[in-house]
Amino acid sequence: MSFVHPGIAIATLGLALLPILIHLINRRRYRREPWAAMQFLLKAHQRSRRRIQFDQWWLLVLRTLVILLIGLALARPYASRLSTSRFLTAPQYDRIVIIDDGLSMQARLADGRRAFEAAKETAIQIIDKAQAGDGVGLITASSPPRRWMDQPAHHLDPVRNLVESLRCSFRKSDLLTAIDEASQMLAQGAAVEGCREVYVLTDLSRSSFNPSGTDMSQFNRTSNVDRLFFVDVGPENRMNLSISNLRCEGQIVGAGMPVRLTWDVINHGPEIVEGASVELRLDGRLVRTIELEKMLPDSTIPSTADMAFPTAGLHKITASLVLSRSDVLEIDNTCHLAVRVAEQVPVLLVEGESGNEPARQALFYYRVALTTESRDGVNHLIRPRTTTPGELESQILDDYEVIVLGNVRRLPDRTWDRLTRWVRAGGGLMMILGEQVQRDNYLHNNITGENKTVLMPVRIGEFIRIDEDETIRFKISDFNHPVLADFAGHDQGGLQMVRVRQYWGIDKEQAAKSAPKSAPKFQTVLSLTNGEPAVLATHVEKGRVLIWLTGVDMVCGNLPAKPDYLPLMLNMTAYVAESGKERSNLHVGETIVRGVDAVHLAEAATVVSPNGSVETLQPEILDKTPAVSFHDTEQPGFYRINVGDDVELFAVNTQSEAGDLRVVDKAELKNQFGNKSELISREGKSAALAASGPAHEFARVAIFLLIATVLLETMTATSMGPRK
Amino acid sequence: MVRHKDDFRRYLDPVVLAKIRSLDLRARLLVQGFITGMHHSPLRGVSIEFAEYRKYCQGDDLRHLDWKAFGRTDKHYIKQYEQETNLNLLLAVDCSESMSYRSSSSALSKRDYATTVCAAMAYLALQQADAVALVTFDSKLRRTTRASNNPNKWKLVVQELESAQGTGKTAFRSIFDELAEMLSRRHLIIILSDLLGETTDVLNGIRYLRHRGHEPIVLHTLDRAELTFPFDQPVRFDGLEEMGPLLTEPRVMRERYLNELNEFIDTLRRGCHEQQADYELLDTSTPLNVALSAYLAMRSKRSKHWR
Repeated sequence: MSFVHPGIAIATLGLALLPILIHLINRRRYRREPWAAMQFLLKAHQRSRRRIQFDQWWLLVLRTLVILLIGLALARPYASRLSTSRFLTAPQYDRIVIIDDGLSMQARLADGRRAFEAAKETAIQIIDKAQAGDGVGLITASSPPRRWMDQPAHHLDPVRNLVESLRCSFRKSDLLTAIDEASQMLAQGAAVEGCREVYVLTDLSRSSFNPSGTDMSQFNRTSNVDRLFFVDVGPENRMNLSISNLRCEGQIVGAGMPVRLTWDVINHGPEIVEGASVELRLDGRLVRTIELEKMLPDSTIPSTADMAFPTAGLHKITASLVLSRSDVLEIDNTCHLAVRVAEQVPVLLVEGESGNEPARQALFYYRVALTTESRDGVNHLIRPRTTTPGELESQILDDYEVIVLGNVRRLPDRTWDRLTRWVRAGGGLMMILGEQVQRDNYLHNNITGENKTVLMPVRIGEFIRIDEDETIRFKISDFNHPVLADFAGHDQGGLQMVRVRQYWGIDKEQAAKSAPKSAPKFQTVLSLTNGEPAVLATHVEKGRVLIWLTGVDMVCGNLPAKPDYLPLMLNMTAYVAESGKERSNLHVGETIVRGVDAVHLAEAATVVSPNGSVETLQPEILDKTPAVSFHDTEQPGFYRINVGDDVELFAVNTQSEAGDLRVVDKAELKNQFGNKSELISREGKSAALAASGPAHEFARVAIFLLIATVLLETMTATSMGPRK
Repeated sequence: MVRHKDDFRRYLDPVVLAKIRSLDLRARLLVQGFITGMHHSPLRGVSIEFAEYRKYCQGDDLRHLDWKAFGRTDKHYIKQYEQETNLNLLLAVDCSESMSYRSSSSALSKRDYATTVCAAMAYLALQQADAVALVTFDSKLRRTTRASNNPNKWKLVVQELESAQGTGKTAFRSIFDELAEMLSRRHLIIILSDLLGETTDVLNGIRYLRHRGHEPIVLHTLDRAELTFPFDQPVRFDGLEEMGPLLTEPRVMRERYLNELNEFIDTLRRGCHEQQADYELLDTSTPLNVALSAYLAMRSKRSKHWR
């Protein structure tokens, strides 16, 4: 048995001696009275002597008990049913403890501990509360939630050791899934209805309840849970800033070339933050400090900085928030970016036209554009290589960052499969659909292929030739797209004056009927003035795909004749070449996959983690491709993978929304889980835990006993004779 | 009722009487207070045998004028009586140690109360020309005075009462036996005592007195504390008359004690009634006229009976 106020309990033991002392003192304190009618007194005394002695001792016991019970009630004892079950047959309980080990639980409390440590301590208290026969289960809530056992365990020591060995993760939490897991685990337990409890030890941060933007009201999987306790172990101060989304987008990065870095600083807290700045470090060396403007509560400030990489190769960029007053969660104040500064960007041009006349080739003008001297010198980096569809099968695709299919008639299934895998791993693909494209070959392999990630997000319909007397031009649908951002406000380049002669239409009816669920979402980058799309952009896992529904040559229109042609094609090449960068920048918990050349297949790869630990990996065949995969990306920072002489750098960051420490709407929480849920506040944690469950009703029992004892004492005292 | 400063009735109150040290004065004031409250003076109706007539002279008391003779003869005659004692009063006062008890709420001890009542009765009796004798006793008869109707006798009675300081335990049976043996003539015997002893001894003694033709009146004198037992806190009772100490919790004892006491009083009252002896319970905190009224009522009854 333990006490909420142990000091009072100890003091009560001392006070319990008070009635005995008073009794002993009173035995010495009496007045003397000479008495004549002694004969009656002696007779009365003789008759009631035993009764008096019994009553006196009984009163002494009752009065001592009254003081003990008052002290007990004030000290608020709580005990496991261990104490009470000896006298009462207590039912067997199953308790599932969900420990929120998400990123937000790394926040520091007022006493300097982390919230996660407080959660572990509370978990131990709950486990200690169980008695032999009770089951205890353990689930950690960081995404994806983990059940540490299949069903509630009855041996408590291993569970206790397990809790003590837990470490906080850097991932987001997914409490709803964890509660679902707990409900399933309770279904495996032996406890009867009414004895199944779930304790969620969390900081109640709102991001933990909808990690992927799911609506909490849709969650209703607590059928096996009888009581659900949300125990708030989070910090009182919820001020937190995070920096995230560090990137250099839409650009091909070369040595010495100016690069624009972009990032977001988010103020998750309820206060206005001033005087914050961001320090940019390149390979550990401070290169820039950017002062931030005043940040309003719950606001995001996107910032940019221009810089240049001195050399080609792998570079680490770190952006760190510097605050005038430190926030409670430091780990998300730093963001990492791994950049491979290219010496060259290899581009494979697959020319579908077999004619010798250059101007008739589908990619002739495109190749010219890539090799023409440009203002920022990007074209020095781009190394285009031209091949034929037939030779594509023998090419090592991983040698290229961008592959362009120029009016390729058809490809074998095997080649499509290779291309798909290459794109999914981070390759950039541009498909230019000309007149000779066999629609069924593209659709069969892209739309109707089962269990494949498709490259074509829409069904193409008929190839349409526009009459000479009809004028259809390009129309920019979205200036915000990185490809077209440069053209906003500059219409003298003639992009919107391009006259289109032929294009592939979209089969809208078929698309609505048979588009597979796995078809990726797409964005129309350029469209035609008749409303038909001209260029589509889509993501296929880590790769990017651009689809031209018309050609980029002088046959399909007069685009190559316009000044905008060159920057447009460079932008598009850079956009799809960007895919590889996404491969190198991940979130905690995501798997690092690094392709391996066949040459290095027999060699072991080494992974150097941010904490300096080195792990050896054996290459394996993943999805028919040789690669090394590394799963243990729990620590944010830079991971270096060495395969032979080849080195690859990966940056792992926390997810910015996990740093949102603001407390979930408690009313919504109550509505969602109804009466079976109970919110236990930070202040009343130990008392509420003590009071929860039938085992903890001891304080109330003490009060009932106290009332009964007082009544008994009064009755006994009255029966001894009224006061005169 | 508004009391005047010299209203003698205040001397009926034991608290007022207790302030007067002299028993002589205390008894006189008590009688004065007692009489003041009555419509007819008890001192007038004395029983005296007629002797002769004599002519009225100036200065004679008009109360003794025979108005019937005046009606027959138109002359004033004074009736003259042959004065004789027709009542022998014996005052028996318990002076044992138990009578010295006075609780904190009482102004007079039982002995003081008894002696005051006794002196007042003696005064009243002598005023009515009754013969008065006094006996004090504890374990045995201590002082006895012979019966006399001489008014000067009262001084002697008062002196004896003032000097009565008995000790020891009362032995009622032997005392009443001795008393019965001692008295040759028929007496009205007023017993002032707390009667703390065996009830059988007391009642047997009274029976014997009755057997010898005496008229005992029992004035059972007890302190208010003895009647109510008003103690709450633990008390060590030091028993008088060698009864030893007893430490106890009075609250617990009260009910049983009062039961015992009431049973004792009832036994005495019933026993006296069976013996045709009068019994009156005197509470030392109540006014003293109760005792005197009892005496006068008894005397009136007895004198009629005896005439």
